[in-house]
Amino acid sequence: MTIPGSGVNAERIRELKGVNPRALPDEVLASTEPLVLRGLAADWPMVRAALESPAAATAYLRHFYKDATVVVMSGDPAIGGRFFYNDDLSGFNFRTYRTGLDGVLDELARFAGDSNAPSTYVGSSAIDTVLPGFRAENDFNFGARAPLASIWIGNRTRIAAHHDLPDNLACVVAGHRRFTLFPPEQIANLYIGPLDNTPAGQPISLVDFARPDYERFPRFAEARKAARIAELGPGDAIFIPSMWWHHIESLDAFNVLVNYWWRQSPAHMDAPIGALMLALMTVRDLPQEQRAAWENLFRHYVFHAGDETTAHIPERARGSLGALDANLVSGLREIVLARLNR
Amino acid sequence: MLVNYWWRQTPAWMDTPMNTLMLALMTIRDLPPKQREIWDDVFRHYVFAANEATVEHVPENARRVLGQFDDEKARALRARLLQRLNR
Repeated sequence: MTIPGSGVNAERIRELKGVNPRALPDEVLASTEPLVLRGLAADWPMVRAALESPAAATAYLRHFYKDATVVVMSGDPAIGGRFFYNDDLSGFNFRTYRTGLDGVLDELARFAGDSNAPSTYVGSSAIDTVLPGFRAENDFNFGARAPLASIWIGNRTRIAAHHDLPDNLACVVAGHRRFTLFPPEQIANLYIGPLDNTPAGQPISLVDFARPDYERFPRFAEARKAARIAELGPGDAIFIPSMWWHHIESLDAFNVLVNYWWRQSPAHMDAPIGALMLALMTVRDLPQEQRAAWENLFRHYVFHAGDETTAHIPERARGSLGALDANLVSGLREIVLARLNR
Repeated sequence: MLVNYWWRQTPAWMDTPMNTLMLALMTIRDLPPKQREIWDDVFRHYVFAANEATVEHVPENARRVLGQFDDEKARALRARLLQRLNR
């Protein structure tokens, strides 16, 4: 299989057979490598409807529709399905609006046969909100984990490589999707754009995978060598570990994906992005020796911390250096808040 | 008796990194080992080993927190973090 535009063979994502969708094992849900699970949702009514026809799939979805609105990303045919920034990254090449999900399904059906259709995408919408009852007939068993279940609906689109904090189990339920994944450490070779001004919430690669500009992005040639690819059809699922970069192409005139996000860490642990942003402001631009000293402190207390890090401090005196629970974290949050509020 | 003088080489808007370290203790130290390694790498990329090349590919007007800070940007970031933490 090749990365579009690259002409280079990429490694396929490992496929795991015989996984029971009624009792997903830790081997899948706590994996640190991506996995493909063919046919994991083969017996979902939604998948069976989609295998019949897009019209049957749409009719099945409508069956759960009450009156929920969704956020739609809409782009001119000229963007070729690639939702991205405008030329100077001062804005985006698409518009967003909120409308009823039934209207979106109408529009997708209306343009189904049109090769020059506008690009339409409804991203990450909470299933229980927009299609109540859907999960009673189409769902996996996550045991004690309580994932957020979302649905993604659109036509031919390309979502730039990005990563998410939670672990992710994504399942194609209509149409086909091509997933191109990269290990987290490819960050420098993917030319990631702005952190806090993003098309859909997460920073994205500025490289156009369909037409990579190797003059502007020479290190993308390195990333390409580390890519892992899979093409999924109705009923096929993929596990994407936390922080793995993924580029997703939807290949048909009607595509639906269902995904589950969950974190392995307790609810009291906030996302690390806040600490990263504060580090950009308070550490990155320090004089070189001072920055190196702080790097050491972060390594000691955070990135390489173990039981021995604080073994010399009596347990009751450890404060933020000790084991943290929801109570202690909420106290620390107060301290950080007070200091930020200057 | 001692008289001493303390000063910082950094501009006034640059808060002490202590707060950042504390946030990192709360949000990164106790991640599963593999995830913590990934964040170590992210911090090295954006913070500890950052140089001009790190964000060269992002147009200057779009860099925001990836670009140079000033008093105004620092205030905006503090406000955003306050909002995030106030949950």
